[in-house]
Amino acid sequence: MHRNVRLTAAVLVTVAVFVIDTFLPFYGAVAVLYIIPVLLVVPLNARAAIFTALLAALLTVGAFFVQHHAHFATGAITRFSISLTAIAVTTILALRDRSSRISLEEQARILELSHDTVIIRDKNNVILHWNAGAEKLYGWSRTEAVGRVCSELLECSYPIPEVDSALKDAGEWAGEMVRTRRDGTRLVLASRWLLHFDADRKPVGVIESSADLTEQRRADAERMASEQKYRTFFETAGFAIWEADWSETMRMAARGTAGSPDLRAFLLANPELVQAAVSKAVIRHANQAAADLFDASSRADLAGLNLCGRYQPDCMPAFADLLSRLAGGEREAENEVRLKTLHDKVLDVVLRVTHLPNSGDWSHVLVMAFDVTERNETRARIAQTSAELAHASRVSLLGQLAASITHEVNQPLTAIINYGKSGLSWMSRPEPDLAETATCLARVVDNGNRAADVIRRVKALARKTTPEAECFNVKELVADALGLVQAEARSLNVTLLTNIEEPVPQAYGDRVQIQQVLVNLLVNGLHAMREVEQRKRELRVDVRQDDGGMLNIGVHDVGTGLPDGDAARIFAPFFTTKQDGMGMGLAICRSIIEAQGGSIQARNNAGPGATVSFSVPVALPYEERLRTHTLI
Amino acid sequence: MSCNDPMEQRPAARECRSLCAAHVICVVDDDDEVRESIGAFFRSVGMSVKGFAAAESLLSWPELDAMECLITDLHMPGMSGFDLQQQLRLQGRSVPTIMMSAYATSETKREAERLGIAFFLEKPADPELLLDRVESLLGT
Repeated sequence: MHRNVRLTAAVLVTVAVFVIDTFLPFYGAVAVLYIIPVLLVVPLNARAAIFTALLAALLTVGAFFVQHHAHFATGAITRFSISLTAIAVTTILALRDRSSRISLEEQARILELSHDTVIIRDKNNVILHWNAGAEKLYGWSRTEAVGRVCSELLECSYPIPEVDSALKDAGEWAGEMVRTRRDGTRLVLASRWLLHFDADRKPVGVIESSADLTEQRRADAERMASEQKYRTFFETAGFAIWEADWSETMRMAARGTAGSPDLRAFLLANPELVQAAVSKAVIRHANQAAADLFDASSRADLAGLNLCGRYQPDCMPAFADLLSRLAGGEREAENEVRLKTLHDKVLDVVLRVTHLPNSGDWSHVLVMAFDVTERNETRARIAQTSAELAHASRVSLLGQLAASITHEVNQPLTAIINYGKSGLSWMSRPEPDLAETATCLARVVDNGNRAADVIRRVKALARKTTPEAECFNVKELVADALGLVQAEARSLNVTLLTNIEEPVPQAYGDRVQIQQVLVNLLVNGLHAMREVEQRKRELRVDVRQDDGGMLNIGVHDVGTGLPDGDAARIFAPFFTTKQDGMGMGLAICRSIIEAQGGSIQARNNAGPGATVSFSVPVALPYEERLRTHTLI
Repeated sequence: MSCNDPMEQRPAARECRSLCAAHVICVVDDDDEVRESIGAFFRSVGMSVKGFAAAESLLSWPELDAMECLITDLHMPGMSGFDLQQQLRLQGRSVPTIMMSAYATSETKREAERLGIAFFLEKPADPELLLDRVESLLGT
């Protein structure tokens, strides 16, 4: 009923009852009729109902006094009491009814809000209530579903005897069941059933709430498949992997940070601490390749094992580097270490340590190990062969310079003999001339040094050394190389020039081999100008730092130039333009330069002749060299 | 005459090889030390020589006509010892010549012979041997 209609009716009834009760001589409990306005107001507002009841009581009392003045007949008092009691009882009952009605409405609203499905069925399994969650999940609207038999509509499949007995014994059941949606899809549901009783505790139906497990099931299955997949990767990988617990290791390493801002330097200086930290790392589980790597009879043998004693003491600096990088926040770090297998075989191994995501501490660390022993041995063999080849090439180069080097040594020797004999001559006079003798001796010493200098340069190039990278001064290297070919240049009537762009930073590489390359290019340049008569024979060495930061050394001649199209071919083995050439010189030059991280190229000049230039790396600080170094 | 040579300013104390002392001997070698050391030795035995750093400078020497004996290196930038010898022969000069080389092959020796070089000495040459050859060439 509309609010205003109710209020108007309540007011009219109140006024009518008051008028009758006060002014008309009825001997009945007319005031009882005040319950009508109370009942009209209750649905609107609880307070208004209480107010109405109090007003009614007041009016009843007022009417009683007006009618009976102070002559209270027993019958009148009785009627008066009955009226007040009736108003009070009615108001209380109406309020209680109101509050229970409101809580039911609330409950219904909550059921609607639930994402789960809520269905109420009677004892014949006919659907009485069907919430929005059920509409959404099953695809049937409320009007379509209500009144239908639930098991027919949803083609339920569940353990019927179990459910029946649970409902009978406990009044409820919870479990999984399968139902069918309107579109035919089968759904897996987690369902909870509750028996619904009437006032006499007789079961009248079931309230059930269900949640869809299909998506969760699918995600679970997917996760399991994924886990299975990665477990298979792990177990069947061709290289050794193990998961280890490094929490104690990292804790010990991090303790070093206290008082030392540079953890790396601290760990490098304290190998015994690194050793102690590494000894706390424990293998959780390992794959078959890891078992094979360590000569373990099975994967299980590695679990719980600590490898510290297996690592050779000289690899603690590598571990210091690994630990400091991981502690510094890098998720992955690698370094080469050397270890002994369970059968005491020594292996070179590159360890790649990865901090697994989502593991806050260091209890789950993935360690991959690549056995590089064979590779290192092969590399060493190749390095040795290359070194021998380079040396052979240097000796052959010196052979080409033999004539001019002989000349270079003979000149000071000639002077030494001449001055020596002059000195003797001055001494053997009747009056020995000591001043002249002293002059001669001084010249002997000068020329002796000059000869020694030539020998030093030759020896430096003839030396058989294992290639060794070092920082060196390029200007000195150029001067030495020019010194070696100076006599050859003189005999070929070639002027040697240099064009050095300052500043020249230190270079990094194998000095002997790089000098060999330069000498080789100089000799080639000199010989390319043998036939040149019509212009001044000049050979120029250019040194400059290129845009990429490398040092570029070019040898520029004015000779016959490269035959067309040979600019690249001249570096191929056995390519030669010389009658007596083997064609290995430039091929070896290229392999030397490329091994140092540089490049070599040749081109014809705009004018006569050709330029062959190569680049060598500039010396980097130790740290940067370490960064650019790759292990695998 | 090589009167401008400072070596000549000092009197030779030893037995004077007077016969040679008066002769004009020229030394051509691009290596300063070699050339000067030869001069120093000859001076120590009381003789003087005239040194030139290149064949070209000898050829342009105004007193070339006075040259009686030539000691020259073979390998030099610019004109070689052979070139010099050829040039001198072209000019109609026939001066007894001693050639020195640090790297003498049979070919160069043959060429020296062809050009009428009197002696071919390998470096390092004994200066006394050089002196003997000079003396013999000067026909003493």
